[in-house]
Amino acid sequence: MIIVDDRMAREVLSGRRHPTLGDQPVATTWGFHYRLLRALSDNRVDGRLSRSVAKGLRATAVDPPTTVLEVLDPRLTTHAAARLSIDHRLNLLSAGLVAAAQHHGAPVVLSAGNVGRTWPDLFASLSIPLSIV
Amino acid sequence: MRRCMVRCMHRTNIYLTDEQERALDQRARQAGTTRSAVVRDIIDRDLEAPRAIDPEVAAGFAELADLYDEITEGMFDDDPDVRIER
Repeated sequence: MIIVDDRMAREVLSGRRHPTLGDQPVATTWGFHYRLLRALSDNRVDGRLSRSVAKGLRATAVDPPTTVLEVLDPRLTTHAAARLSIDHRLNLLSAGLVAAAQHHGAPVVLSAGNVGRTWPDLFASLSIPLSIV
Repeated sequence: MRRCMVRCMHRTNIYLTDEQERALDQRARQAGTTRSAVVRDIIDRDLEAPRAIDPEVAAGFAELADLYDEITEGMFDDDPDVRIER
């Protein structure tokens, strides 16, 4: 399993997987899923795409086929995320990401615009493989 | 069919609520079949081949490629829970 951010999740749902993902199962966290749904709920999506297509995107993103994109259950990692938040001063998004990567033993692939300033060092210190594309 | 019942299937016992049993029997009556057949049909449909993404929806996600960055630019700046500190 590889854990991705909201931008990569959108790419996966478009059927165009980045080569870095190979043929491994792809998953995202609750936090990035929230960001994706928030973006898709923006009126500009309805304005740029047809209303019916926008509606289809939202419906698919809410409950994507798990074989395409799995949305990880945050309950499995809530406690670990809380600990990480305290130990490393992480917000909900990054604590959830790191906790999920540790829990599932999964590498993380993020788009370049979605990498926090301190994340590369943090991931390295926790031995979590991080790819930025 | 009788031979297949013996060779291809496994007998199992499950507990059902009164409501589930009534619903299954009603559907079986309507379909002119048995409760077991209805259960097998429900299982088959739930476990069927993975759903694929509708091509039109996939194309919509592809079309969002540039728009997505535009939309999310600054979208989470006022939300400390899901903001990315750069």
